[in-house]
Amino acid sequence: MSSEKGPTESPDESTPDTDTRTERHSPTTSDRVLPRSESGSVVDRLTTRHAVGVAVILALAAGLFVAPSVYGAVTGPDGTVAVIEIDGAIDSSTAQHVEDNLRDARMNDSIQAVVLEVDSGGGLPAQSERMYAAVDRTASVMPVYAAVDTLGASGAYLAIAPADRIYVAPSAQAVGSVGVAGAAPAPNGPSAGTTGPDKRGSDPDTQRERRQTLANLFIENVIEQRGEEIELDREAIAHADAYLGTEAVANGFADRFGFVDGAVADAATEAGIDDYAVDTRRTENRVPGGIPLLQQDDSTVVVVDDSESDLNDDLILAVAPQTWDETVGEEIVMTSYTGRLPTDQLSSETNADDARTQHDDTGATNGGEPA
Amino acid sequence: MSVNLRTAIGAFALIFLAVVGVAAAGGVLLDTAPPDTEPVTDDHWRLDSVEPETVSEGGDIEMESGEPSNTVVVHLGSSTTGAGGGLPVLPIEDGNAPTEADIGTLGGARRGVTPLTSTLIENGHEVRFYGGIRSGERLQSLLADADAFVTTAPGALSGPDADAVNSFVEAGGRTLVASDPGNAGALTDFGSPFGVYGDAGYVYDMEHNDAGYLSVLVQPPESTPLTEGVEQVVLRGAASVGSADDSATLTTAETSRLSTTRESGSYTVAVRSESLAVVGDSSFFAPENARRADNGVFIGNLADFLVSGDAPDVSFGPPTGPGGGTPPGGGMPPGGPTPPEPPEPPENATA
Repeated sequence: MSSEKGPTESPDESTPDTDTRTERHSPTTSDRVLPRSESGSVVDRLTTRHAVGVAVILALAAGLFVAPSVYGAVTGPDGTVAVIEIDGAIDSSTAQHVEDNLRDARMNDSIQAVVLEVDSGGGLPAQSERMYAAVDRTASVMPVYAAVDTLGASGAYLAIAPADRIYVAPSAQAVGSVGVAGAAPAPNGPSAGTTGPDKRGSDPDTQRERRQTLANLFIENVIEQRGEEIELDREAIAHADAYLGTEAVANGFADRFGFVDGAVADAATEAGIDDYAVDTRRTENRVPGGIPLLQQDDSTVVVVDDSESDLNDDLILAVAPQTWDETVGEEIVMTSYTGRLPTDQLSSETNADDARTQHDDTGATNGGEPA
Repeated sequence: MSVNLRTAIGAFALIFLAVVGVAAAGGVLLDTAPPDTEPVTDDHWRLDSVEPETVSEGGDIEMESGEPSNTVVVHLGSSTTGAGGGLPVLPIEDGNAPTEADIGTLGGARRGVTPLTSTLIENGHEVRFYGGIRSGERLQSLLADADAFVTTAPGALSGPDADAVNSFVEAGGRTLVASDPGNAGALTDFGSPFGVYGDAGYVYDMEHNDAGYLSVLVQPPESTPLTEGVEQVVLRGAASVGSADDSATLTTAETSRLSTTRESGSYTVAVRSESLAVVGDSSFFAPENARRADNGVFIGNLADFLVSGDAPDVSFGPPTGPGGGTPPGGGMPPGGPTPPEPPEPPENATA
């Protein structure tokens, strides 16, 4: 402002060698020009030096404004590796979290690789399939690696099966478990409250067939994605065993030993980014679809997370035995296929111990049931 | 003045538009859409790719025997529902003990054998249920008038009851034992006098089954009266059984495995030793399974077996206590079976 005010307030004579004065005293200046110059316009009074000064200041300001971005662009990472967590029982919120973040990874130019940080024993089959599809789709455009801590089993293993590479901790305790579980098929009695005989549930044969269909879907998905890596045949896969990490690497359920950091570094290398940033996407509050229950108990406020209430044994679940209790609750027990042993047998028969041992053997395979 | 201002504004607009235009053109030229993802392969999701193999269903349960009325005593333990049936979901649920409810064909222990009992009654035979020592009945009394005995829970027989059945079998009384997995010890204890035993664990088949690894498909290695007309029987949960003469009535496929050893091979799941027939499963009696594959034919043959032949020549001593062959109090002796009853002159049972 001062540079503009100066020429305006000062007499022209005090600033010799200016263009304004030259124009004013020039005998060749036309009469049309003189009145305009004398009006005192800012534009007319700007000198070259003033213009240069203003330009320099504006350029400095603009440069300073842009410089951080340019510096950041030059020195910043070449790309980002997104670390997406798959944690706990798999339900709709888990699938949404993974699907949303994988979609973002595909849409975001800066994200060039994904690492799935896995510690889950599975959950609902359809939600596991949803993550499976999202991982498969993402793996078609960028490296997607998975790193399993303790659990990467059942539905969680289905979700990560399409990953380009699966890392496991050598002491991981459940990798695989390719199968589904639920209550044993049981007949339903008549109910005047339903409009059809199957409204309360299908007949046992249909229940059995549908359960096997879900298992076959799971098995086929795993074979589709990792059939070349897994060294076990279909029958062995269908046994649904959950392997230790060191076993999983040996039999092809996993590719190599490693943890998240190693997977991130390898994924970045695979994506061709030497200088990378890591964007970690943790699972957020797992209370989907409602307000957590609040219970007042002796002046203690208890927050009850009922997020897993939709996981019960009425549904067929892709859950590893290691996490069955925490997934559906301890009070819900998978029914053994033979029902339970006669109570008087166990309490009184001389061979009760023998029977109990054998029943446990059977029950363990079916999820266990107290005799 | 006005000319210069217009020029300045014009220059500003020109430069502004030029910059924006370059940015827009550059964006159009340089911007790339998100990479095209490959569609998820879904051919293997189609039903015909993942539908499990199942066996056919249908047929009637028929008996060929023209025997006059026989009496068959059926013992079921307290809560068996037949393997594969699981715990029945009753329309009237008793949350504490739903298995205690017995409402005929809807649930309860007797539901699991209705195809067999219906067939027997339909053909003019009498069926009497024995509910165990706590029922107040005396098995010895029932067997004294019986031609045949069926149990689906040998482990639930008390020591005296097991002895009574042993005597019944020795006397030629046709006896059918359907012993589910978990009853190997009881079956061996019961069947050893007749050269019959049970193996621990269960048999499963991951390759050839009826929509589940536990639903093994078994076949008769050779045609016997028990397996006449039978090509394939489905057992929903079978235990391996054996006999001293190594005979087998039904065996599993070579692809089956024993749970305890995981060794594949053909396992015997049904044997017959004289008047004793043992099947390592009770599920095939269940209403849902009785018409699966040739289960109905097999059940019909078993019914014929139960009512055929001479009446057993058996007698039992006087009752050792009220309400059954047990000491007062109804408890079963923990020390093992009671000594055999002293021999009595044979008496004719109901023909």
